[in-house]
This record gives sequence, C-alpha cells and structure tokens, in this order.
Amino acid sequence: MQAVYLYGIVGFPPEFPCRIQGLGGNPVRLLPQGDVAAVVSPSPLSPWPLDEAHVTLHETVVEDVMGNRPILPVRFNTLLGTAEAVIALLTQRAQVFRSALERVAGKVEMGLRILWQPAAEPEVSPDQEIQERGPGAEYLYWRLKEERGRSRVRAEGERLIHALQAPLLSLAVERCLHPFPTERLLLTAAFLVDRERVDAFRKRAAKVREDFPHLRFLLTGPWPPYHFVHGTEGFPAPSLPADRALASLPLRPWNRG
Amino acid sequence: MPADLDPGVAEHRITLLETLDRVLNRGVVIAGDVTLSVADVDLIFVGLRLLLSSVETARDLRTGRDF
Repeated sequence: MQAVYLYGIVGFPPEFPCRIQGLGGNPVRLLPQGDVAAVVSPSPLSPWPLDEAHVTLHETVVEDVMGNRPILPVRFNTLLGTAEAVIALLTQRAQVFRSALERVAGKVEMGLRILWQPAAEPEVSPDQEIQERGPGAEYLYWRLKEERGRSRVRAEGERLIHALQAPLLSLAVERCLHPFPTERLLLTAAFLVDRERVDAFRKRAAKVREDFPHLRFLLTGPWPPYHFVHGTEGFPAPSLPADRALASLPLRPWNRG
Repeated sequence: MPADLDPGVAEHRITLLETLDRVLNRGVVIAGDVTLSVADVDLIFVGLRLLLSSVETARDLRTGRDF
C-alpha cells in the first residue's frame, strides 16, 4: 500500500528545482495545496527503522530543500495513509504553516551546549550541639546543607547563563534555552540566526568561549529551524520532556566508531 | 570511549547525536497514521555518556557544518 512520508512543509510555488532521493530511494516531491506544500516521498505505511542511515537521510532531504527555500522540518517517521490526508492537513493548518514559514525565512538554527563542573560543597560535619540532639537533628542538618548547596549552584549557573547568552542574543532573532538539562550540562540552547550573520555568530561564540575558559562549549549548525516551529502544533506533542530527552541521548547505533 | 578518540570521529558522533535530538524530538508534530512513538525512541536512547565524552574529547568543540 502506497502511503506518504513527510519531511517538511514549504511555501509554494516554486516547484522543485532538482530530484532528490528520499527514504527507500523513492523520489522526493512536493504535494501543494494553495500557497503551502508538503515535501514527501511515497512509502509503505510502516515506520522506517530508527537507525543512523535512515535518520541521516531524513535530515539530508530537509537540508537539501533548505538550501533553496525556507522549510519547517517535520519529525522523523511521520507517515500519512494517502495524499488526500496530506492535502487535508495543509488545508487545515495553512495559516499556522504560513506564519511559521515567514518567521524562519532566511534564517538558520545554531545549537549550543555548555558543560560545566559546579564547585563541590565543602564537607563540614555538624557541630557537637547538633550531634548531641540526636540522629534526627543530624539528618535535618545534612538535608538543609544539601538544599543550600543546590540553590547556590543553581544561582551561580543562572548568573553564568545570563552572562553567556547576552552577547549571542544580540546576533539572533530568537532563542530557545534549556538551563540545567543534566547535572553536567549547564545549558542547551538553540538560536535562530539570519543566514548572513552565521559567521558573526560563530565569531561571537568563540569570543564568549574565551571569556569563560572554565566552561566547555559545543557550537553546531547551521541546522534547519527544528526548535522554532512552535505555533504549528495541531495536536498535543508526543514529545519527551526536555530533561529526559537530554538525559537519554542515543548510544547504540553509533557505538561502533 | 577511549580518551584519545580521533577528533573526526568525535565530531561525526556529535553531529549524529545533535541530529537525533532534533529529528526525533523537535520539528513539526503531525498526528499521522504512523508516527514515532515514545517507546520507539526509548528503545534506542540509552544514555548521555556518549555525548558528554564526545564533547570532552573533541579537540575543537566549535563544530561547524557547512553546506
């Protein structure tokens, strides 16, 4: 049975300038409805394997299209049973797709992750007075100390995040910040940046990196605007909570280095 | 992961991990006839260790991808 695999949503026209091969080697084409179109390829109505080759191919199609026009990337393994279902989707959500496309036109996403090593709290044993009050008092002492340590680390992290992102933000149109996704990660962020400003953004990030030598930086991009498609949701997102998603990045398919 | 991991390999892995995070977790969500389930994602999501060690091992952390 011939179903339709979705890679992204674009404005229409123009038609596709060139032929791109999608999942299963099937040709990628546009399914237009009014002034928006879905980037699709024919597919069986069953999920594609979640592995390096397939995920990379999905991303490659999105990036190829993005080289020529703005695109709203669609999540991996989104399949609709018929072309009519795709047309119905485009009709229903034309307005949100249109405004989301305007928002990302001429822009790319830059990703930033920052690792840190928060200073450990000194181990200070409770004084004799607390010890004499018994194990309950001592337990509360340690709990209180732990809590104070946590809020101190958090306050320090927040100060760093504020200082770090301010110079980057002035070169970006929008940002999406996830502070403290894990203990070692201070920040995961995505910035929506004008194409022409990508080099300037890279240079600014390098400068920020020099200013904070005790932090580790990972700058990636340019990416399709994955973090900047909000407003396009027509249904509750079956997404992983941000902290869990980060705490559970994939290992297996790439564990062969 | 060995501490002397080749920076090219580290960069390749980072790119894949970053791609995964986006392609599976971000982007437009459409309730299709077949959509990615959280259970599918769980099957291949194992831990953050790889990313952390990749990040710490890569010599040049300013990974830029040109196209």
